[in-house]
Amino acid sequence: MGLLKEPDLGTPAVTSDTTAEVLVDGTAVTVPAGTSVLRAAALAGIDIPKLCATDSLEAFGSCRLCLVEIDGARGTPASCTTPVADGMVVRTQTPRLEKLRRGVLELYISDHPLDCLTCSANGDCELQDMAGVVGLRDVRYGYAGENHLDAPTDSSNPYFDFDASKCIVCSRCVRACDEVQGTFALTISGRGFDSKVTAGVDQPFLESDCVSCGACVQACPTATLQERTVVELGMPTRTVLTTCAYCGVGCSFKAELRGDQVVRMVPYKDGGANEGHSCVKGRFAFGYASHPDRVLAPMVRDRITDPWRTVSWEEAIGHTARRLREIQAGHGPGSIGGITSSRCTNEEVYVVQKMVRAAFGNNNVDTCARVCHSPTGYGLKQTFGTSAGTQDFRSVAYADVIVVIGANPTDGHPVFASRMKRRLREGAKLIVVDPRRIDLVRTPHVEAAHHLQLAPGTNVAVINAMAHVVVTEGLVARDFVAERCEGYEEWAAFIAREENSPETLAEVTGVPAAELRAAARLYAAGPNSAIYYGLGVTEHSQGSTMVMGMANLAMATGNIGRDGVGVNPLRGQNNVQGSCDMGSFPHELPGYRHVSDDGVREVYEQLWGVPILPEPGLRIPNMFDAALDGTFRALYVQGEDLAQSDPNTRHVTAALSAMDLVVVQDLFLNETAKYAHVFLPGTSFLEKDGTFTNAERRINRVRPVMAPRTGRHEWQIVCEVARAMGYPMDYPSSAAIMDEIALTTPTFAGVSFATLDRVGSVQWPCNEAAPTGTPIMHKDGFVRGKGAFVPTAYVPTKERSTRKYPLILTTGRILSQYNVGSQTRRTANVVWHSEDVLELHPHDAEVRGITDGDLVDLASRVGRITLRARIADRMPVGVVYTTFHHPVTGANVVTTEHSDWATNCPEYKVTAVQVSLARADAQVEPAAAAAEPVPVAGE
Amino acid sequence: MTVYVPGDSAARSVGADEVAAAFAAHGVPVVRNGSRGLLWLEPLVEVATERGRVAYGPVTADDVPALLADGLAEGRGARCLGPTGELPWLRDQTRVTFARVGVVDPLSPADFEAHGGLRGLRAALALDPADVVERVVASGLRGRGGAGFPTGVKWRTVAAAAGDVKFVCCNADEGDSGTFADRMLMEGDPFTLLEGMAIAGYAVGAREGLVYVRSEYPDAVAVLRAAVDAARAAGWLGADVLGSGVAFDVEVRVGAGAYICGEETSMLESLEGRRGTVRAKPPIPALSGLFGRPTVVNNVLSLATVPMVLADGPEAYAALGTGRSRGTQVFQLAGNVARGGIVETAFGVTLRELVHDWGGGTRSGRPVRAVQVGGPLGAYLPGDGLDLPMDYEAFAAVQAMVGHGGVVVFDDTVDMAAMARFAMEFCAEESCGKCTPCRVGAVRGVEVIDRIVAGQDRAKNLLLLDDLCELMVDGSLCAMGGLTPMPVRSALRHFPEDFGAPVEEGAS
Amino acid sequence: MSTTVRPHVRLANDIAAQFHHLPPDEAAERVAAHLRMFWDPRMRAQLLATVTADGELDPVARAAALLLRDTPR
Repeated sequence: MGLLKEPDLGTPAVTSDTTAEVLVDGTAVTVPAGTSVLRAAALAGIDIPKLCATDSLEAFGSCRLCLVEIDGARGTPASCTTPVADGMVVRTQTPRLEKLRRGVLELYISDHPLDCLTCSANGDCELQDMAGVVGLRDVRYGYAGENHLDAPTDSSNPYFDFDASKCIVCSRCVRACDEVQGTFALTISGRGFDSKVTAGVDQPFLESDCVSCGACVQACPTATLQERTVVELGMPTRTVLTTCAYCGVGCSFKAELRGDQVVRMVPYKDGGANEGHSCVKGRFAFGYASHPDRVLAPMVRDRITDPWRTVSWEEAIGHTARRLREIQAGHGPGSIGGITSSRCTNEEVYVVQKMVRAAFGNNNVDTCARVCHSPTGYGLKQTFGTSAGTQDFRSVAYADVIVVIGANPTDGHPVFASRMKRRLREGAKLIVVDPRRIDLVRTPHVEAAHHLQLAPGTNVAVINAMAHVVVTEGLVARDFVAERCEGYEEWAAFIAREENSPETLAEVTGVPAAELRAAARLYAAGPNSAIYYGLGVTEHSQGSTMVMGMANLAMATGNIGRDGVGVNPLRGQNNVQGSCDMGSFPHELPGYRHVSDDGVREVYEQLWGVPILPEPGLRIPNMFDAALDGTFRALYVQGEDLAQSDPNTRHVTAALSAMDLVVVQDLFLNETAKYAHVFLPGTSFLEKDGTFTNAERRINRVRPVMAPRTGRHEWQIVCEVARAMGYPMDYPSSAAIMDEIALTTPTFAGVSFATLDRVGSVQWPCNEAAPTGTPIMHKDGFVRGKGAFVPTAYVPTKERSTRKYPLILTTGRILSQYNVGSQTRRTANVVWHSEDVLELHPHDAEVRGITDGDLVDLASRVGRITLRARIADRMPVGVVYTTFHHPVTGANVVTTEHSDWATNCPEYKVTAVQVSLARADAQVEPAAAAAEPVPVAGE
Repeated sequence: MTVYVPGDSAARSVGADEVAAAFAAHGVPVVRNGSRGLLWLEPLVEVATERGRVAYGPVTADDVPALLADGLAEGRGARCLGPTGELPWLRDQTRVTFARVGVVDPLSPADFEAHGGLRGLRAALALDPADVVERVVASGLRGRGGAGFPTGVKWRTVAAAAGDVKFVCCNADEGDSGTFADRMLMEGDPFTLLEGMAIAGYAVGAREGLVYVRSEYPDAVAVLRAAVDAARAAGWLGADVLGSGVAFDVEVRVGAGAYICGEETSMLESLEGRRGTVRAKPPIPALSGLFGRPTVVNNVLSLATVPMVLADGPEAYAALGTGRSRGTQVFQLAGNVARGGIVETAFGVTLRELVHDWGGGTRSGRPVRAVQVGGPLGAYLPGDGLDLPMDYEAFAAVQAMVGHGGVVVFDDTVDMAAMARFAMEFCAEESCGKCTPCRVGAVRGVEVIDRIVAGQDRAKNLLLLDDLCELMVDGSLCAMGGLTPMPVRSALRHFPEDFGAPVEEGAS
Repeated sequence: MSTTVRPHVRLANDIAAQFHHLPPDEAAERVAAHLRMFWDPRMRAQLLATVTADGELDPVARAAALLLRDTPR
């Protein structure tokens, strides 16, 4: 397609039970009551000129272009701020209005550069458009008057410029920052003619609170706020609709191109997950796809100490297949396995698990979700019957109480965080459960009602205490429980024990009992209470228990099965949900069906023509253990950087070193590739053709904007390896892979590329019963029939602080960087986070003689790293924090072998450590240690 | 002997504090009352005598020993002006809103009650809230801030609006040039304002009132705050107003020096802690005002008039006035005028009576050339066209406005082109900057007037100025931009010769 | 490595600890069910192989292992 210009109806849609019929220039149109005249006219096909109005923002009424005449009304009201009334008669085109509009434009242009032809926004400028629309021919004021033509340009942001000389002070950027993003970084300062857009406290954008989400750039009607790529490359000429490949929010984007060069990524208003919003990563940080570090041809080597040898695809694939078969011949069919990537498409993941099950002939397939959200899959399946979150993102707009546990949405899931903050600004109450005082606890116009600042590792104690309050204070939703659930009595008896009371557990959790009781009562009072959680829940030795604990609490209070409630994982990676859906776990076939289920196996055995083992295979950590045992000897790794992202790096690298064959399929030579024998170059999301499934189970299309730069789609490579191993596996297209998924997986039965192209996206289950998908799950009944209460005993982690390691380290991520950083470190996002730092409380710093910016040693019982300290009072005493975005830091050198009891998800969030000033000659390598690059990993 | 020396800031600005100190130094007890509003006589000293209060003024501190020696204590002496109430200037007024201003000790609850205070509130509390609203409607009281919207009708809207949290906001951001009645009332009779607010709160179901006072009125702020404390202590405000079980309290907030914050929606933004910029209407503040709640926004004079309406009945108030302009208006005479000050009288008085009879013509003694009524955005009326009755509709009919009742007099030395330019300049200076016609238009307006005066493309620029005025009137978001053309156009209309042109080329 | 406890023993003990709030028989059943559901057969075999020898094995895990021996699937 050409450049897709989305219609702008001027003001946001209004929902109302009643409608109003209005006559606009003789055309009748019926709209919900409360709709603006401007929008009603647009819906009638009549575009009233406008500049300050745009349908992503509330009406503002400042430009005075959209004036209309209304029968019976005085003067010429602005149509954007005037709601319709039934029977209203509106005229949008009269000589008087035309004269007024020309007058407004005449004023604008009298203070605007006359460089349209050379302006970067030429052709995409609403001011230019409006000058044409109103027929402005002459600016009688001349151009010699007072003006802002010398106003300076702020180029501090790496991605966009703010050219104040072109600003028309429509406040769209300010309002977008407030209403859409919720950061309130921009304001108008000065008064009257001196009014100007100002970032922060009259700071450059980069130094202000601006989070570079791009909402202001998106909202700007002129070239004032514009992507630098547009300035450099020119206006794009065509659009490809696709899906962001960063976090699990799964934002829809318009990739806007000139030829096959991406000029900019523009959030898509019709995108169900983001509704036109974006963050700094998805909006701007796509440059890694064309980074020179990308490996574009396959490479092999015999030993990991040998240099890489670039080879043909045929040789690489033949070599891989031959070695895999040789190893199986020597060590048994179970001696090899594969790992799928949550960064890859459903189709790419599906073929890897199929290769493992059909061509390798075992169930040794796992996915990087093992190290992030596997407890979600386990916990929600046990309680609700399906391994997925219950809501769509839209649902948060109906929540009255929002509980955020072990998640930092403003950094990790910024676009969803903005939706959440919007609801919080509307008055929903917030409960934050986190050891750190994350930004949400207090951010502009948002303040948590309760911040339960628990000790790391005590989630289960906190959730049990909350449930204890609900049960013992008579706050249980009796009807819901009786009708919809089972196991309540046993659970209630367990949870009502004194050992689960807030008072008893306060010593363990560090959360004052009164505060916890108040939070529990608030949650129970709702009426709509929703839980959102992240890896601070799952990455613990009791991660699965905690997930079940949250599910118990939601069921006990009846907060399941409608808008505004639910239990919702915030997925770290774009396709964590999808990779799990696709049968990537060693015990499950696609759709979370156990391999022991004869009926399910039979479906695949018939279709694939091979027997499938009825027993679970090895998980990632099992594979490492078996590798060190010598029983597991070859691993095919699709896009996960095990050596950086998995815990206890020394253990991981020892296991990788022990294997006979490690195949890495990735964009960059990552840390794991140092231990690989075959490197199969992968494709970026700009080359992929397939689907991603986001945290709300939304299946979105990923459409290629260019052919694979490697010459092969990743699914084709996998099929070729399988074929070379003697198993016939081929598809005419990735669409055909989805067709096979739909054919074999009941929850995906209604999904096809054609359907997605037609309707945009669907949320599974999507089948005959739900042809347009399922935004809210468990509405009439739980997937497993009755919701199951599961008693959740609090079992403390074995990782304890000691005299030698008195502090607890917890890890996380920050806004500008993503995961192991292999993508974002190869973009200008490094200006915000050029190195991982260790945050610690002033007290902990003081007693160790550490000052802000000092290099410190961070040691656990398994390893030691050096990084810079940052004194941060958002940390509680005794807890330190770092990120794992930079390989040079090697945060996982210190994390341990402890893992979730049910799923072996590593306990990244609790490591006993000691921090000390580093030796005087110590140093952290510069962040751009990208000479040893690194991608894709597990979170 | 009790001597009254106004504590009003206008009187203080001409030495009232020193006069009071001088009396005190002679052991004379001094009451710091409000100003009677005869500003050319300030400091106006009164002394209580058997004949009632008699006046002396203007008095300086140096005069005090002589005055005392001359029998001031008995109300005698050459400089005695006679009983205050019999001064023609005061005698000919109809003081309703200002009945107590200058008379009472502003912060004495006893004095307030002794002079009829609380009668209105007591009467209101004895009625259903809805009946209170209807009495205000029946009085014909219209908003004294300038817009002239019927106060009772506004209250009716707020009373009918859904919501358990509502507000009464008093607009005391009196920014119009030549106006000072709000200030004088707040300084001279603050309890009346609080009483009016309490009545409003009871009538509409609001428990909280806020007074937004401009920062340039520190004395008013101090007096109001002290009055709020005293009213609370007396049980007139708080959880149980006059033992009625009705809760109402008042908080005093101070602006930050922006004229635009006198515009009601900007004032609400400012009260919410935001920049003072105008909100688009709808929604009207009566339905979605402070923090999105139904809100009464009334001027000081409107609220301060309400107690009288309730105390004496709406009929008494409505009996005054003319046409649809009922009751009295507190006119403020200022500028180049011989006798400036407060003239409260029924609507229908002519501008000539105000300027020449009360005002005594210009202070310079030169002919009156122009009078601007209604603040900096009001029209200029020519000196020979003053037979206009003070009446909202009559003024509107000649493209002028009564506004807040400010009357500023100019003699024949005034340059009306400069005054027109000043109107645009004022708008440019004080515009909130939100809407285009006001933000950019006012700046261009100054430039175009300069070109006209300089004789540059006169015809073309006069047409452009007319187009700009039309755009500002029809297109501006609020009255600031919308009214700025009024002084400009009236100056052009009545004084084309000042715009450097042969008269026949003229203006629109 | 950071620990001398063999992986399958450590993992089995972690599971067993979650069920200590139940009566021992029921706990063993639950642990056994979990192992059947999620463990690769060779790990289960390793556990069985050490069930009598390994003193570090949690009693509930040991009971579960014995159940696995009697009822492998």
